[in-house]
Amino acid sequence: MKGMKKIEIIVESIYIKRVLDLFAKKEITGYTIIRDIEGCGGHGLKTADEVTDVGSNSYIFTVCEDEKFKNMIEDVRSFIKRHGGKCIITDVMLLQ
Amino acid sequence: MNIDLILQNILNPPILFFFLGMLAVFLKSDLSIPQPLPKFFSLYLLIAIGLHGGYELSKSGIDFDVFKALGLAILMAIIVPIYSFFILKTKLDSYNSVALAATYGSISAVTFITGITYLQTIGVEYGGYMVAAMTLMESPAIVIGLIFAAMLNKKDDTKDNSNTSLKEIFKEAFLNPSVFLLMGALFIGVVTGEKGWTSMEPLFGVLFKGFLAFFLLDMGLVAAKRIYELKKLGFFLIGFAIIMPIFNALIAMSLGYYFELSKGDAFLLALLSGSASYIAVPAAMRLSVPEANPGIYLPLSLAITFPFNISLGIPLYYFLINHLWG
Repeated sequence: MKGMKKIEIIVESIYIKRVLDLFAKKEITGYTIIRDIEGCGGHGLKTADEVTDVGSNSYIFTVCEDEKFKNMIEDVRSFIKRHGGKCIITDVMLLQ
Repeated sequence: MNIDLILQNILNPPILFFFLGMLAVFLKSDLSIPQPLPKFFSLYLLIAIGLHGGYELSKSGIDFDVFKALGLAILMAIIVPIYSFFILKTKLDSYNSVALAATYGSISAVTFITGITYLQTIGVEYGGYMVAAMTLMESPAIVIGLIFAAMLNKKDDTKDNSNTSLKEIFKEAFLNPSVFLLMGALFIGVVTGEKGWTSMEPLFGVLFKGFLAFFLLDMGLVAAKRIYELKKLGFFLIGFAIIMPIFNALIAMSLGYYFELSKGDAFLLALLSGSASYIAVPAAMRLSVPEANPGIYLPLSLAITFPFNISLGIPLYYFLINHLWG
């Protein structure tokens, strides 16, 4: 068992590539994406049934060591501040 | 306006399917079209309209009339986002003004398709090159919007300017999926001509209206869901979403009249000028102007302008053109 940080990010689907670029820049190489999820927030209803990615959200999560987390969290914060979305951070144990 | 003109437009199966979709939401039915079918319908319609337009263009060839129509289309696509921005700037912040101006400066392919269906119903001729006009009208508003966004970001030193570099502007304007597919299909239609169209017609011609009905059913569902968001937007924006299309269409009509376009071409130019994008521009604006709220420009375009144009706008513009042209 190993103590790690779980980072969950919900953003509009159109921004997925940018989040992944941010991950790559910070050497986060493992992640999981769930595309086209529904929800409602500051930018209104996202029904995930439209022809444009503006109308749907995606969910990305990754787990990483504390060091990597500290190295990337300010970038994630400013990304969310500018592009919208939510970021949830949890202390987790990883079974190894 | 003659009630027959409105009925001829509304009593069309695809249009009725749009209202059926809206009704499903209002009556709280569980009707939904699963992803990724709406995207497939959208791609189908873009290929169909591009191929058919290319074939028509290969038939008609390129002469002065074609250049005139294409020139007017580009002119409208440039001036609409510019004056829309300055009108919006009186009531909105800069970022939302840019996004909304670009949305109304660009066009809606499905509104155009619905307009063509209407012309076919009432037996009015139009030039196949108007599909090329539609394709050319997609991008200028995106370019202008991104230039405005770059200027705004330059003013603000804290902003990252990487999304509005020249390379990014070009990519968003000409390589965004709908513009790229439409241009590609148009090119294929021109190159393959009649032989190509004949071989593709069973899928992209015969089945076209059925797919349009499916797509509009989905659009009805989506538009009705967005209607609930309009409460937050206020009278100015809701008024803008109805008055602006009419104003833009009137300018296009005047230009069409002055430059002696045919009735059908002038109608399509007016309809394109009066339409607002809900696929290409919102995506481009979301990437380049994330400060703008999609909760403003998407519901206005989708839940007000689009339904208005396909139900009342089409017969209204045709009525005015019929009156002008005599």
